[in-house]
Amino acid sequence: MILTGIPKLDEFLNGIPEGKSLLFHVEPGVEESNIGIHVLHKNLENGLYGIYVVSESSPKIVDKVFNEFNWNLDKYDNLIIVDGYSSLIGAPTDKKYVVEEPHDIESYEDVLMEIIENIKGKGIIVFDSLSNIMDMCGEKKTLSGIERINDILSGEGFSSIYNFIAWPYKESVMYRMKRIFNAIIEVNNIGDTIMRQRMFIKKVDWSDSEGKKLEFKIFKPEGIRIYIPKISVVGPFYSGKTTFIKSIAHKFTPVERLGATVGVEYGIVDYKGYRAEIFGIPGQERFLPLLNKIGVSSKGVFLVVDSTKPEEFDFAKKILGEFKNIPYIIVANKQDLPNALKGDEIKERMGLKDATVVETIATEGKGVYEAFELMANRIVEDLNAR
Amino acid sequence: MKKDDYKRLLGDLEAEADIEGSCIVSRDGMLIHSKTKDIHPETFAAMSATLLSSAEVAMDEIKGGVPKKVVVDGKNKKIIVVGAGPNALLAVITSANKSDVYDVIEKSAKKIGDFLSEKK
Ligand SMILES: Nc1nc2c(ncn2[C@@H]2O[C@H](COP(=O)(O)OP(=O)(O)OP(=O)(O)O)[C@@H](O)[C@H]2O)c(=O)[nH]1
Ligand SMILES: [Mg+2]
Repeated sequence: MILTGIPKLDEFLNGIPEGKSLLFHVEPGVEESNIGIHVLHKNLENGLYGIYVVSESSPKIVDKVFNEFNWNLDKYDNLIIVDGYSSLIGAPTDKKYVVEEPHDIESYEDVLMEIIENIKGKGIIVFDSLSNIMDMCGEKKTLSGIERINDILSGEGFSSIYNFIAWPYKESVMYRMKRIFNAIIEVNNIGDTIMRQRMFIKKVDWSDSEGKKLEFKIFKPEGIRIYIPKISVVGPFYSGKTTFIKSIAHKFTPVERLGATVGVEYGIVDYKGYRAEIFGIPGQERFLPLLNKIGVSSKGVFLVVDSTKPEEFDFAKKILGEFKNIPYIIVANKQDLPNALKGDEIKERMGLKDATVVETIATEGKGVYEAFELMANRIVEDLNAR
Repeated sequence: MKKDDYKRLLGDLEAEADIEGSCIVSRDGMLIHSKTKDIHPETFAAMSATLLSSAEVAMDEIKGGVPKKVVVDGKNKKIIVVGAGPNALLAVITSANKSDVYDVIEKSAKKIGDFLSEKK
């Protein structure tokens, strides 16, 4: 199976079946537009062949990008670079596979066929970028060439990925593109102030995930992450919020005096392809005004309760009431203590039967990642329900 | 492009005042843009928003009006947090001791606030 390496996207698409073509249709102005190279890296890691066609800049770009993400270029003898640039400017090249006539799409086809004949195995081809090749070789001619290439690849166990910067092309060209690719994913900047991008599955002919959306951001050196700008952690005093955040975050700044949290805490979670920023809000009632200042605009809320203290559940519910229409998960913490109530019992007593509850022992890190993953999934579902 | 605008706004501020770094932050603590060195701007952003919002709550309690700025006076450096329109704030790091730096920061915060509301 060929994967994109972007976790939630692979779940939506069910990977990329052999022989299928996927176009990343990127709005001009999106800063990190080279999504193809992340897909390339993922498949190199999985031991498949990765053919990278560079047309837009010198093949040295590959070294540069690999460096930025701490990927070790020398490690991959399954990486094949096709140099579509050097002949264009008459520069020397040390690459084995060179497009001799970069203004002729057939020259690209020739090189690719030669490679496919020379290697045995499966993999992906990444074009960086299709828009550039279209500008060089002519729009319609390029697309006809791409159709021929895709036809041949489909029999050879290769899938193809196209980076495409969506400059205003003619209607008829866009229409044809819509037809010839098996999948099209639009990539846009999100218009509000917190920098991130959105993927939108515009077309896919092998799964039923058309119309799905994901918000993501590219971090260096970590790579592509499904990005959640804010999850709040709330709950009564001493229930284990700080301990919970500490157990899932890889970077964490507690704000504590005498064992109690006295300000907003901040941590970053990086887990299974998700990146979330976590804001912990102190539980003592006198700090509640911070809820509507800092808690607003959360994408999700963890309500942490001490499972041995049912007398605090009313207050917990009151805190939850400050968040309207935001997905939440009840974290039934301190399950190691005698008399800890089970999750279902807690839901029942809080009168929140439909809530999702996860039992945890934050001090031992038990259940905490399960809670995080459920939350991340809920937030993606919520985005797609809007 | 927005990002370039933020860069320009913070660049202008740096050119006018003796400062070491600055961030534009949403009122609720998320980093919008930063021009800083050797710090983790996201944490700084979250804490700056907490400073301003805590100050607002404290001021409100004493009916003292809306705080114009929050100044944290450290041994080596100062942090100055100023509201920039209803949705954002400007947080500045400086080791300058002259108080005229406040004027420049407040003016810059106003410009940022105006810019952000134009965008809406
Ligand atoms: N037995 C047990 N103790 C826990 C667990 N989680 C947290 N604690 C303890 O409970 C106490 C309070 O935990 P914190 O994480 O500081 O609680 P908090 O909710 O952040 O408290 P505030 O922020 O001050 O409201 C600490 O002594 C923790 O060690 C747990 O799962 N089991
Ligand atoms: Mg705490």
